[in-house]
Amino acid sequence: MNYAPIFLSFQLAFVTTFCLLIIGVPLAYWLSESRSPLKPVLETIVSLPLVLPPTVIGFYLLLAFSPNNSIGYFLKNTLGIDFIFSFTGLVIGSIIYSLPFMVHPIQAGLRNLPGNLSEAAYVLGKSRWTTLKSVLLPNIKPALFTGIVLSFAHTVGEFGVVLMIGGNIPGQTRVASIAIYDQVEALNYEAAHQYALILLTISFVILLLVYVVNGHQSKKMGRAGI
Amino acid sequence: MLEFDLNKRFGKGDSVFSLEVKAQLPTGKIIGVFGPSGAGKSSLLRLLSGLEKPDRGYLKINDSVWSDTTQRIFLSPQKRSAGYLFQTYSLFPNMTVFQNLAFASEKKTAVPPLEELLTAIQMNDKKNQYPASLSGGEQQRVALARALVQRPTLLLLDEPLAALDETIRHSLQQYILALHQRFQPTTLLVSHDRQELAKLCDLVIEIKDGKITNTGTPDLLFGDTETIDLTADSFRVLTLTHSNEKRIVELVAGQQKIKIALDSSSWPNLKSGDHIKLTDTAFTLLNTKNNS
Repeated sequence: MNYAPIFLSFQLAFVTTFCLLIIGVPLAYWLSESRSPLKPVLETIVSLPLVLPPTVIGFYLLLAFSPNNSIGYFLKNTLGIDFIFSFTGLVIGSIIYSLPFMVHPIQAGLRNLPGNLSEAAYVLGKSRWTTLKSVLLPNIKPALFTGIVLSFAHTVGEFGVVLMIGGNIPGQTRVASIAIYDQVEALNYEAAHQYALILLTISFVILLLVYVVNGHQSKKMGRAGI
Repeated sequence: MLEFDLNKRFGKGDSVFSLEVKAQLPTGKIIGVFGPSGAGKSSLLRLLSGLEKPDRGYLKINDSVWSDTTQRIFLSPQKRSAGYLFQTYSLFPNMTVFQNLAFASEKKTAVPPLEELLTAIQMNDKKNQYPASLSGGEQQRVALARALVQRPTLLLLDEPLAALDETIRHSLQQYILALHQRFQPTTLLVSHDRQELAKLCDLVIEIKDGKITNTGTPDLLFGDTETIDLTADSFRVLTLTHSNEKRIVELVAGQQKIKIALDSSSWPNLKSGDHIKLTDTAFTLLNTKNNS
């Protein structure tokens, strides 16, 4: 059995989750605090991947990054970056596709905190960054953990976006879900079953971990009055 | 002097609430903020702290301008020297008592030693405990101390005792008085409790429908009403104090003492020592004290 697709899936999931954490935390913070008229628009954009077929997102990303398009042309000819059929392209697609899985839990966690926690920090002279880092994030650990794990698991199981942007290049863009599809197409059910079982087991363990850890955290936070 | 003239509209459509507050208040005192629910008491404190931005107006304390819409000055809460004590406990749950105070003291100058504050609120033995293990009264004591760590010029107490039972309220009132005496910040205390305001405050402002309707000593605002005999030959003017657009005149005739409010334009020359006669709808100046 070739384990390269499994490793590639996890590599993609790690990189995507890390990027999502950097993007998702400030975005969720802004959405939880903002009173801007733009907020509903941004919330809709963040949530779109939940309702859109992955192929739609993949299709538009494919168009946008195509060298025939002005964005793709600029990226390829000016910056020398080609997102189509590359691992970087997969990461970009995965970030967009898994964005709500990171942002929504963190946003909900922040919204459920008492509103005067951040205000108390501001009046004490603390910046928004210090307030987020020292006051808010430590008090929403279960939500953070949920966001990280769900984003990771969702990326591992991604198929449509990956296929549209990355295609099926061994070692570069052939992730586990694509490999399963390949093996089924070739009527090699045994290999497909091996890949599928690994993904099923890992997904089960990850979700079990979320529930167990969050159960413990909730009890701890409950005792701490959060 | 704490001086402000601030306007702010809250809400939209049918639920618009306008706050139009104007006052000149002495610094270093405890000033009560009194009024019915929804009158704008907490909104006033939020405007003073910078948690809300005014639509129009200015705010000055000791000649330092914190907000002035005409000059486009607006200091964020982080840049104001203000402490804020919320009604609900706002200690950071992930920090111990000591860490809550230490967090407030970071990168600030003129900070009183934290141990001194812990001693003042009698929480030395619980300094390593988390807020959840403290009683409501203890949490408010720590929150009060935390609000004072940076020695704020302005201390804003938004119904800090409302959620506490009578015994703890009484105890916390003593802490407020003691800490105020030690650090002397200009303090605004929101409360529904007249007795509490009378006990703690040097001055009380009354807010109704988003406007300051009265300013005076607690005794003046909350003094017991009595049946008085208006047919007394004359009343002597004891004191005159100003409250918003009105003057409060304290009168005495024999054993009777009463207070009446006048428009600023009525009897502009009235002064302490004058004698007046009251009727049921107006009064007549009988004689005036000789200035010489």
